Amino acid sequence: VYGLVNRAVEDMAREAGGAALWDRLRHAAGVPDEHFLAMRPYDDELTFRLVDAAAGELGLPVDEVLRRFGRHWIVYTGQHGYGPLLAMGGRDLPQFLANLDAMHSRISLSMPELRPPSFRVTELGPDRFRVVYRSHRLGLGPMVQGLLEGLGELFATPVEVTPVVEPDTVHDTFEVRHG
Amino acid sequence: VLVLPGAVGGPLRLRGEFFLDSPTATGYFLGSVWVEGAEQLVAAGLTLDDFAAHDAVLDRLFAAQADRLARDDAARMDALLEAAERTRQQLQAAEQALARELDAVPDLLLRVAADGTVLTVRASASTELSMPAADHVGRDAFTAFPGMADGLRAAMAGAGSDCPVCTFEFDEELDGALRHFEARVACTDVGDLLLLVRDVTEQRVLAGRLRTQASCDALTGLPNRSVFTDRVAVALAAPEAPDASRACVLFLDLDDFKQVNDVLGHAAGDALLVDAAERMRSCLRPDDLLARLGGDEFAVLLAGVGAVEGTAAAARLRESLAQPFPATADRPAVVTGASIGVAAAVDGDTERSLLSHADVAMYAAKAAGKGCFRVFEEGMRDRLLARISAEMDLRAALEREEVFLQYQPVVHAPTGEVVGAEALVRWNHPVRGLVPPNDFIPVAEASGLIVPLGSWVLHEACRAAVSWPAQPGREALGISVNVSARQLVHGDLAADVRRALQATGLEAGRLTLEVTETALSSTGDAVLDCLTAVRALGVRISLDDFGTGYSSLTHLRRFPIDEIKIDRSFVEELGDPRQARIAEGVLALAAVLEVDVVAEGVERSEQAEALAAIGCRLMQGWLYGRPGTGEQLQRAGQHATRPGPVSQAGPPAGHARALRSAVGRTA
Repeated sequence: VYGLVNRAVEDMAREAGGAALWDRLRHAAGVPDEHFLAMRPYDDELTFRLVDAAAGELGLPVDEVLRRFGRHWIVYTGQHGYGPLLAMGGRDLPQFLANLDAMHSRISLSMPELRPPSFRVTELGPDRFRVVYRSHRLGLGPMVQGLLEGLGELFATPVEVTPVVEPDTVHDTFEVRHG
Repeated sequence: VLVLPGAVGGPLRLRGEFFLDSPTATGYFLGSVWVEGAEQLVAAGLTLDDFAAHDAVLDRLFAAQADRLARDDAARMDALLEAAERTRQQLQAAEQALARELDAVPDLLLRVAADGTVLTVRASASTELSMPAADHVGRDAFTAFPGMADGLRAAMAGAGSDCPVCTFEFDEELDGALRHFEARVACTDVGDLLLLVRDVTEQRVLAGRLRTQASCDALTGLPNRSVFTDRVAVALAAPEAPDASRACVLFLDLDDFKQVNDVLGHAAGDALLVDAAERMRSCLRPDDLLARLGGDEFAVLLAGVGAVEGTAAAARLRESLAQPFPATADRPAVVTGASIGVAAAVDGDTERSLLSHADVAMYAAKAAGKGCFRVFEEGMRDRLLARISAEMDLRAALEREEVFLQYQPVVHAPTGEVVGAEALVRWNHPVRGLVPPNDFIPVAEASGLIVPLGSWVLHEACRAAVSWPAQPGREALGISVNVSARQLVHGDLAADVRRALQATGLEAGRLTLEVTETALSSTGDAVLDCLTAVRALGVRISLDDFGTGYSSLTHLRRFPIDEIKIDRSFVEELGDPRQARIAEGVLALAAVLEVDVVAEGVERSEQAEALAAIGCRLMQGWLYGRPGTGEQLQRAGQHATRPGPVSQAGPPAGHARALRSAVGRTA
């Protein structure tokens, strides 16, 4: 995970509980250096420890923390200069999701250690589509749900995201109903 | 740069090269959209779908974004480095400040690893070490500082989880001198021991000195009253052994020490106290406690013994202190003595009562004439109180003029002629009647009342003598007045005599001052100066009680003596040929020295004849007249005194004023 993501976690913690909460999370996760560099790759494990620590500190399930982080990630990146690039992702939510793979592919050029996920969008109707999410990182489905909800906010489109249970699969599937 | 102003969302700027095709007069522009940021594309309504998969414009946009992130990281790194540098500088400044503060601390700072290795040593300029501080680093602390080995070992053993600060003290020899140190030990976060070692030698010495000062007399180095009292209490609390007493206490007071101080000065007095203390120490057992209670008062605690042993010790002390103190560099030779009180503990005694008993016994010894010891006994306090009462009575008697003078004639035995008289003081108590001189003169001596009393006697005797008219053909009667040792050292006797002569108009040659041998023996040059001054006035000096004290030819040679009075004890034993030869020898000596001789206490005619036979012509005693009033003396002077002239060859004493003397002052 690039430091960009960890900084988003830090930003969310500071927003939720100030510097005190962030210090507690750092100590609980055993993170000595609080100055994450955006372009430096960090161990995935560090990020997962931060998420676990946040769950412990906030008294929330890990999935809920991931979901909130997914929503925050969209807002955070929008606030920190990624807005134009996000806006170029598409004219509407389906188009944006369809372009996500291409966007990650281009980002990989400047972040060679990036291992981006993959999104496949299938239109189910005028206001419904299916999103299949694949990643070498497991267990981040709740975060994707939060991402989808955050994108609904970004495009000012009411969305209803429903995880589709598909036993024995390594991907996550969501049905999205939108405005 | 080609700007297309009519583009959707605003002017579109294209960057490239413009070529002119001359043959066709056509211009070509080869270039692409000059995109500075995604905002321009967004503003133009473009999305990723509007670009080819590898459109350089998009690549550039994403690269630019990555570049911004990298620049942001670099800026963060710069800020962190700057902050780290500031922190480093602050730490360095703090370290330097701490180093300066530590330099000002006169302590040794040691850091010792858990295995005992010395990690760091910081020694200030004033810290003494057996070698340079740096040389200790890496050594074993137990070897480097053997004195602190035990304390360090204990501190290491106690270095538990909470690791409290502990202290221990140790001694270390430095440059051949033993020094005392105090170490404070604290644990560090990494399990080392931090020791702050302070040299407390001076504090120890000072504390010891303070303890000594609090418990010892600074002059003699002896324990003081507080320590003595505590030790007596301990002795009394000790289990009593069968057939043994718990303790015996002696109180000692140097006799006439005040006179030594007054006459010879305080430095000489202090020197005498030191010498006396040393002499007393030599008379005692090692376990006996000698203390100085203050002034010239000393006390001895004899633990585990009774009155018998206490009396023996008192006798040794009395004998030792009675010996003259030879002259030293700090003082001239001094003869003193000690009055000693002895009190043995009895059942129920407390330290307070025991000390009080010894004190009372000591005053009893003083009252008994000094230079002796007394063992406390019931009733002693009452007698002492009676004595104090007598002193108060005597003081009142002087104010109420209850004292008066009687005069005992001194006779020229060959002719029976009265040639003078000795003034004798008497006390007519309104209740007790006539108080014997032996009862109140010692009281006056002990209390110091003898000085005003003696002065009154001097003036009254002179006044009386002036009123005695000379008989036709005879010289006027002389008058003898006794002078005590206290008057001699009081310092103003000569002035007092001068005042008496001037006030009464008495011819100086008619006055004789009688001084005892003892008074001459116990004092020094001051007495000589005093008597010389008196004699310079024309007053005669008589050596009283000759033969009873430290009879010394030195006295006769040194002091301006005009007359010797042979003591009554010799007169009483004239029947003893040996005594008679002594009396004869005194007369022969007096003849050689050309001083007169008066025999006192002559009560029987055979005594008078025996004295006459060896050449004594001036006599005093009941045989020639008892003490009486001035009128009685005058009447006796008009006639030859009974029993009439004794047969003797030669005229009255050749010295013009040799014909007056007196018997003992309390005759």
